[in-house]
Amino acid sequence: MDEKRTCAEASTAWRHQHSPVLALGVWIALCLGCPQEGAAGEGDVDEPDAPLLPDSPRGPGDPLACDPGAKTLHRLNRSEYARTVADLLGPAAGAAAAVHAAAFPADDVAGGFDNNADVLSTSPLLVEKLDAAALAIAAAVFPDGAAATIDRQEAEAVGSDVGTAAGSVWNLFSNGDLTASFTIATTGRYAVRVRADQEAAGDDDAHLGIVVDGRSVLDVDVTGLATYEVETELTAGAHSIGARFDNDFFDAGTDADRNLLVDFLEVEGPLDVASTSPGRARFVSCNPSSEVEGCARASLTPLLRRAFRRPVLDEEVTPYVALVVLATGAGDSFDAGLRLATQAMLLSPNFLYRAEFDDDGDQTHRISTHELAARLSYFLWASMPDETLTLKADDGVLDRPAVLEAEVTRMLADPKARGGVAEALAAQWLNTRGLDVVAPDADLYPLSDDVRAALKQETKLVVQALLDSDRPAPDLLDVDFTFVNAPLAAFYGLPFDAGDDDDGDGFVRVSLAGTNRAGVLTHGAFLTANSYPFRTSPVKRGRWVVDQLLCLDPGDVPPDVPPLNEDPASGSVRERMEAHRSEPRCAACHVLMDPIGFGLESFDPIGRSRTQDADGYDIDDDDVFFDTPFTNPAGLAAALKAQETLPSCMAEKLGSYTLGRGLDVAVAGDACTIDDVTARAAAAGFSLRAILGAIVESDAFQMRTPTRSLE
Amino acid sequence: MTLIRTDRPRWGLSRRTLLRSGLSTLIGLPVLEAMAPAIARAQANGDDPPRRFFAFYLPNGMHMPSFTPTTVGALGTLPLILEPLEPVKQHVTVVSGLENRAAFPGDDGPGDHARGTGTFLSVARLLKSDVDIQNGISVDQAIAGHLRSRGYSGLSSLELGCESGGSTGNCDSGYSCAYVVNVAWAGAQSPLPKETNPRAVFDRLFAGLDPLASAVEREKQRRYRQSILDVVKGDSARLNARLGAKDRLKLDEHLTGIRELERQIEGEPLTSCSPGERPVGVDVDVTAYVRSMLDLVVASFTCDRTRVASFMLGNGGSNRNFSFIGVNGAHHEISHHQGDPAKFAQLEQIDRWEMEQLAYVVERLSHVDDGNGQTALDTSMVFCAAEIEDGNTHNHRNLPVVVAGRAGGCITSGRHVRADGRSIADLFLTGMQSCGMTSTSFADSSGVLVL
Repeated sequence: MDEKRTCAEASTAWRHQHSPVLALGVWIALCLGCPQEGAAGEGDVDEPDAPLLPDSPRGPGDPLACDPGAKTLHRLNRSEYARTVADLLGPAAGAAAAVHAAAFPADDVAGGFDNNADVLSTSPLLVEKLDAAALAIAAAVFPDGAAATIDRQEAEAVGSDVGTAAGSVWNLFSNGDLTASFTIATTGRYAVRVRADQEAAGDDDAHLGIVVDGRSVLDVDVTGLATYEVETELTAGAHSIGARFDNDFFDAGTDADRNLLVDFLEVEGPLDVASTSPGRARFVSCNPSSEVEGCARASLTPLLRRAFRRPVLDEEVTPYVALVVLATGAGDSFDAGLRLATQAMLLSPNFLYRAEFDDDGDQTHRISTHELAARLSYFLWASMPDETLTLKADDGVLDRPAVLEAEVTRMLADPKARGGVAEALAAQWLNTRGLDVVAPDADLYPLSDDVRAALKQETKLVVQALLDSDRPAPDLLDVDFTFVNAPLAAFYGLPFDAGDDDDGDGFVRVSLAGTNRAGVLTHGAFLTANSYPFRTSPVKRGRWVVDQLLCLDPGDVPPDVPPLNEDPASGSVRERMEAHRSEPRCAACHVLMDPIGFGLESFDPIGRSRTQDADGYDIDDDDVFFDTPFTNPAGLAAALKAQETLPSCMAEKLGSYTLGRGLDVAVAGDACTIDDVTARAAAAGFSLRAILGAIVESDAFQMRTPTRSLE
Repeated sequence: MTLIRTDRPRWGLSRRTLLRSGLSTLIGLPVLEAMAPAIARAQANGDDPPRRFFAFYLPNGMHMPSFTPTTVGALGTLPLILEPLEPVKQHVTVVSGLENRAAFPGDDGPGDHARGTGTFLSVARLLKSDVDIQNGISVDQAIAGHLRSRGYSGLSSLELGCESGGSTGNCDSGYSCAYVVNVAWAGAQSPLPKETNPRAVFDRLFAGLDPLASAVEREKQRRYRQSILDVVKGDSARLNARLGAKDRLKLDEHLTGIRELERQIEGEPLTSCSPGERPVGVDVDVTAYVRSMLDLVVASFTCDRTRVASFMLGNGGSNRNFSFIGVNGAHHEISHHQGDPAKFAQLEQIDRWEMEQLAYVVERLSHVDDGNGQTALDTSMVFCAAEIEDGNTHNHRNLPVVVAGRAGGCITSGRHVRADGRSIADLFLTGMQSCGMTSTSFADSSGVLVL
């Protein structure tokens, strides 16, 4: 249960009170969760000036600052899935994955985030779609048309006008050919093989000629049972391929008889095309025609290791190798076998879920360095660890604070962080994703697809800019620049100079000085996602801020509340809402939500500036918030930045995303973590980077309490 | 009371003989006359005739004064909102007075849209939370499970809708979005997400239709797919052994999906059937979009790809902008009418449009051949209702309910029936028994509702 205060309580008592909860949290953590008692109160919480990074990982005997809590088996959500496939199998596979993932059922959301391990569920429909995606992705990595096929014809089934069937072989007992017709789909280079043996007699071994379209391409002496191979160019179409016996020997006196025994004829190819399929060479570096099983194991072991984000045992690889053997045994190519193995890999829970193990029992313990690497990469990149991170996990040094901090810095600087943490914070915490599900009236409030997309990008780029800077995180509320492309600049009425586009993404940074815009609450994405089709909703806008930035809970709507008078003739939206607010049972909540919304009334339902609303009423965007009078959006931002719950709320939201589980202030360990992170981040300037860094340093990020028992 | 009738139609000899003699061919027949191969086979084997259940969900209630027929018994002149059903009224039964007690507020306060929608087919008490979800199995899934256990090898069920959602986190008064966007629940914590893109649904249902593949090739592919799933199951078993109880529950969800895939692999190959045109994606014309979804329900019944379906016209508390039928406003907002006659008129327009969509699918189902001269309306029960009675009062009594079809002879259609104070679960029990289940209760049912 959430301990947030509700409407029924006086609005003066709305502020979060962390401290009592914190003290309780430390106490409980020390008594219940930690391996060793003592040193109570020596946590980092009360000493923000303590060194941020101790020199070595916390030892088994060190006290816990906060109970790290339990984390459930964590399914990849759909954006993580698509990004992981791209990193694992390359761009072609990533493109296929993105197309399929877009049609997966929407991921479950809690607290605004869709990476919450507890609520992410798996329906049969999702598994069905994962299955279809796996098929398409495997085909993109090991394309069918280009893949070599093996066409084998058994000699005894083919037969010849010379000789006789003898068990599983054909006995050419006189000079002659055993010829079969093979249909070649693609012009290219092929391996032609004949498996043969001899019945020896006389001085010479039996001659085997491999004949393609009547022309001998190989002439060998058969010394024993073996597969004889020659490579040759074949054009698309039918070809006759055969084995020729031309040195028959028979001594009637001794009954010595030299014969050629043919087991099968086989054509594999095209050999040169498959290897040129993009990406394939990354996974296959051996020659499958010589040794299917060995080559399959050599190819699949490193792939599975990356897919499962941890070292794999030989016995875990074996079933995947068996799939390749199954395919080649059924006459399909090695690559067809790899397709099957890839499909299985993409459906395996080892790939689809991030598991963390409690093999050592019920003690709260550090997670393994590979688990730590996955936690890092999924929150920063929304994808799998790269080679550098994996090597640090392999070496067991990732949990050293200096190494960890260096990795966070490196990963944040990587372009993948834009699609990872910046995208997630913009789309989920700041809810630009809400733009997907609103339908402003097309006549009154036209919003083109271009502008819609640009609005999402704008918020993301501003988040990214703050991640890249040392500015305090609350500057999100009044940052005096933004990013626009040509359509968005025209929409906002801001200048646009394509010459400023340094990175070629179409967006340029523009100053907002002299406009009524500043900060994410004046972004069209937020303003539109929290409006109705025909009018703004000061309540929705205000409610979102109260929920997501201040972590205050206005509580439930009381039963039988009269709805808003929707008649424009009776006054502006603001006037009608103020009438609504005059009802005492409504006032407790609305006195907080409404002023925020009123402060943003100078933006219409799609975020355009306005001085009058659609009904012709002048906009009034002054109000009072928590006893602080403010004027216009800038004044509102200043009032919000002064709220004491803003920092801890940011820590709570970023922590929930980073940890992939909802932090709940009613849970002592979580409350402790939120305060710990807030204090550490504050000591480091409280930039977004500092908050994320403090979370990574926290026990909640580096440790886990076993989930073995169900409460 | 049980609902066992002796006068259920039997499979006719004539048709069976025809099939055995090989004279029947499916290819080339017009879409709506083609009988699905699985049904033909069942018929040839003398197996049970198919039974189908289709739930059609409407958001935001109905304007009841223009919905409820004034007299009981045979349907006469239809009220304004029901008028679109006139051409198919012999197939429909209007049921008044049913209530969903699980959706009553009790101590849970506001959130009637979530509560009405979450319990729409489950009639189970919801846990009011946006993190922990707790519901009960929905009637469609109870029926799907029964058909599965009786060896039906098509898709267990199909969940469709015309409003996506789930990703915004913007739910109803503390209720999880899961309650608002799903009506099909496989279990207490397992909502079955719906699909909202008709093209994706079509591909899912009919992509396996490959009449050119040889039997040998099909058999090989089947073996490959089974082998892949065996590897996945092996991985799951190894992983399971190292997980705690809570994690095992998560892994179980995955395994349930894998087993469903296995069942489909074992099922009959889709060989010949005419599912109709592959639809475009989401049509900007809302009516066309809705009908493309309903067409898929019809196609999946025609081809016997599934026997259980649910369709959500919108999500709970939907705020669809109805300007496309000349109603300037959003549905949920208008439904809070406060007794305003102008809003009544708008609601009537919206509600009539909703009944036009119901009429459309009922008309189409009346042409689906389920064998032995029966149509899908003879074999099926279509349950259409809203999650509340009225958008302003959020009442869960006297729900607006239209049933279509005769459920294998269990329903005498073409009537208006009053069932004041009876639980909606009683009607669901009727549906369950008509699908061959022997259950004598569902949720808070007191016995079948004889229609």
